[in-house]
Parts: sequence; C-alpha cells; structure tokens
Amino acid sequence: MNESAKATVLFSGAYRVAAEKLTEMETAIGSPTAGVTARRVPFFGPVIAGETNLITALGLRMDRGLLVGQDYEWGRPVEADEVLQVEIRVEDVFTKGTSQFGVVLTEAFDADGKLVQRQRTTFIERLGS
Amino acid sequence: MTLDAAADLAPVDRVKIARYAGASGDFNPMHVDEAFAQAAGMPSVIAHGPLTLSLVVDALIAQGLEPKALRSRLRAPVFPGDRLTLGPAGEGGGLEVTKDDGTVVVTIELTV
Repeated sequence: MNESAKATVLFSGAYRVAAEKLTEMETAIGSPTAGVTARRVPFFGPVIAGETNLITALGLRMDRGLLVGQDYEWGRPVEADEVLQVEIRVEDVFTKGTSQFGVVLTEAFDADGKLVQRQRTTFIERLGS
Repeated sequence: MTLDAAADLAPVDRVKIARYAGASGDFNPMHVDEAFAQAAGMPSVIAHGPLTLSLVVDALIAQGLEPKALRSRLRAPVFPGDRLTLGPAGEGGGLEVTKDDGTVVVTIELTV
C-alpha cells in the first residue's frame, strides 16, 4: 500500500441514500427486521469513494488485500432518499510486522450538520506474498 | 452489553452474497468471481465483511438492542454455506461470531 496516501480525500460531497438501495439491502439481509437494520447499514463507505479511487489511492492489490476491521458509530438511522454530506478519506496507512494496513474513514452528516454515521474501515495487505 | 441468547445469523449463501454485492455496489471479485477467489488462495468466493456485520446488527435489533457503536475485527473469511452464530466472546467480554466448527470469524465490541 501507498503510505503517502494518508489524509487523501477520496470523496467529499452529497450522497443520496436511495430508497431502492435500502430495499435491496433489506432483501439482502432477508429477515423480519431487515427493514430496520438496512437503515443502520445502508452503505459501505469505501464503495461510495469508488473502487478505482480507493485502489489507486491506497495502492491496494485486490488479490491479496483483505478487510480486517469495520467499525460503526451511529448518530441515527438514515431516511429513505435522504441526502447526506459524506467525506471519505484515508486516515492512516502503516506497516506492522509483515503486513501493511490502510484505514479509511467515512463520515456522513445530515443537513443540520449532525453526525448520522461514521465508519472506519481497515484493510490489510501481506507484504511479500 | 449482553445478548438475551446466542443468535443464529441468517444463512450466508451465494444468493445472499450476490444480493449484498448489488445492494452495496461492492463487486470486488473476491466476492463474486469464483476463479479469481481461487487464484487468490481461497476455496471459493467469500462473503463481504460488512454483510456479516449487517447480519450481526440485524440479530441485535431482533433482540431489541439499539447499537450506538460497534467495533469489529474480521478474523476469518466466511464462505457460502457457512452457518454463523453470534454469542458472548468469553472472559474477555464482547461478542463473537463463530462457524459451526468453532472458527471465530468476527470479534466485536459493542456499545448500546
């Protein structure tokens, strides 16, 4: 991974939580409570940043990079078709032992500037594999 | 926090993985391309980590819990057909998701 990517902003702008995507998420979860749950986990931040942006910025190799951590902090559930202000940035890239780690922070705020959701995503890539 | 009881998560199969890929837009080939996943050393495609966590959040909500924060460490891949159970993580506290063979796939710190 590219350690100089730290602090790189991958996405900053408006993001609409499309009602149809919430329905798709509800279907994917597939339980009696899935409609409630989908509003807590409506998206995976790094996807909003764009796969190409993420991979290019981090220098992540898809055949040996894995997700090892995903943290959530919820302000409140999202509403269907709500427009959020989202910023996604590379919070850290570091080497520990024989692995490199990349941490991506996603923050989503509502129109009043209140936190709706924060995600912290950690990728790992084994060195020399 | 405590769960009222260990919870069986909804089964993870290829259809669920495909549906999650479509819903999230995450079409990383490790999740949807069998040949790619095998070339990377996996026996098959793997479930998205956030899919497993979505099932965890769903199990918590089904028990009437309202999570405020969740920290997770993904420790082992989940494959199609794996049956997962959410329960206490033992003496260290927290929660864990295990497969039927006892493999811990996710450890979780939860704030409700």
